[in-house]
Amino acid sequence: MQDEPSGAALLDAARRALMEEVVPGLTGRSRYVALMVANAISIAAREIAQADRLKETSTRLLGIAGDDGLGDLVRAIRAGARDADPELHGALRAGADAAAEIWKPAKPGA
Amino acid sequence: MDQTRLRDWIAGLLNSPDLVVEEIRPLGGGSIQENRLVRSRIGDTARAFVLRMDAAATIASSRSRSDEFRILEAVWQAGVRVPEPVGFCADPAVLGAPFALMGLVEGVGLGPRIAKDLSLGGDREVLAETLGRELARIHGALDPREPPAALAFLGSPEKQPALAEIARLRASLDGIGAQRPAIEWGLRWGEVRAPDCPAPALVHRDFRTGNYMVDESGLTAILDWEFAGWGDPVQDLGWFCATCWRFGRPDLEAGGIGSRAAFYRGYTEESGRRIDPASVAYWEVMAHLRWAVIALEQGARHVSGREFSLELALTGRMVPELERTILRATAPESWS
Repeated sequence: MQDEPSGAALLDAARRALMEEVVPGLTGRSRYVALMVANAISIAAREIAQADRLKETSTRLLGIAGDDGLGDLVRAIRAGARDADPELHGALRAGADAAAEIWKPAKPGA
Repeated sequence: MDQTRLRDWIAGLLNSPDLVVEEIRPLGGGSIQENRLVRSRIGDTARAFVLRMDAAATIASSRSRSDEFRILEAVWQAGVRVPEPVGFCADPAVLGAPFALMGLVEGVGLGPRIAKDLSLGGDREVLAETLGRELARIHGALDPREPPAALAFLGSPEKQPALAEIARLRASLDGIGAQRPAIEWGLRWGEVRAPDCPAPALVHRDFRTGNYMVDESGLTAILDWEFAGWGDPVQDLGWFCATCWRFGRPDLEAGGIGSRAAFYRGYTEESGRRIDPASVAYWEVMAHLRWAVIALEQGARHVSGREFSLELALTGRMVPELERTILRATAPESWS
């Protein structure tokens, strides 16, 4: 059984407390660092929330990568064995989209 | 920092025995170098300098301070808007490490601030055009067939700068053990589509918003010459216009500060060279690849445990956004 609030919910609460109660009183370097901390917390929270999607895109890529995983794939790409391969491109895009959404979620409507 | 030794060295350099150093303080600076402000007085005349020396953590691809200073001298002589190169001290006995001394130029350099604060930089279309002109002056500053003796360290231009760049980026990835198929995909696309470079030139290699300074009326100086060398001039155009260097203003294609048309106009008028949009688009993809590799290297400095830095850690995590842009620009139909 999962204790409440969950780890992800705690991260959201920590970020909100930081932004609402700490950041307004800061200036200069401290404020800059606090905003970076808030950003890091959001990234970690999104990574937890979207763990299934990340795993899915990673499995899809490894499924077409070769026996030795990413190392094989890197070597094959460099050797020109996967040039313009639409299946690989699709898998890479899905992975980059998922990871980029964790770094910075798309604005609604964008 | 030994103020007396520094004073004596500057006094000797300027042949001004009565020079007095009034203030030395750190300036906000890059992750590669440390900059200090030095305020001095010779009789009734105030003179302010920026002193630049290596920071503790340096990355391999940046040039030595002395080489950077020689390049600064060459572009200063060619009329590029840069800080005045005042002198270089190779003797580590003075301050503990070699350093360069340059005239202080006032202005704001921080990229996000320049993109956001429209009270800076003067008319933004004029600024974009001016930057285009300055870049053209850089590209025309030296003839790679007859470089001055002081710049012999530049070697000969690479025959295929794009392929050389790709080889360097792959070596950097291998150096940190990074397995990034999306970046590899982009590098391979770049290899297949590598353009020839019929007219190599002096390129800045970090010409972007964040590496020049502006005051209220416009451009005051172009900074950060540590990556300069022979290369394909289009690389600088692509680096400046790449979406990853627009600081929250993707609509302003010239560095987040102006229109691409104004930037190109300034460049074309000054250089007389026609700009091939397809070549610039190629180098914009290469810009994302290069920045992605540098971001991975910066992240690796934190991840390896060598250096704790939340800033570096976060930089490492921005790579997927760059990969997404790279993959969009290198779809299978764009390979042939």
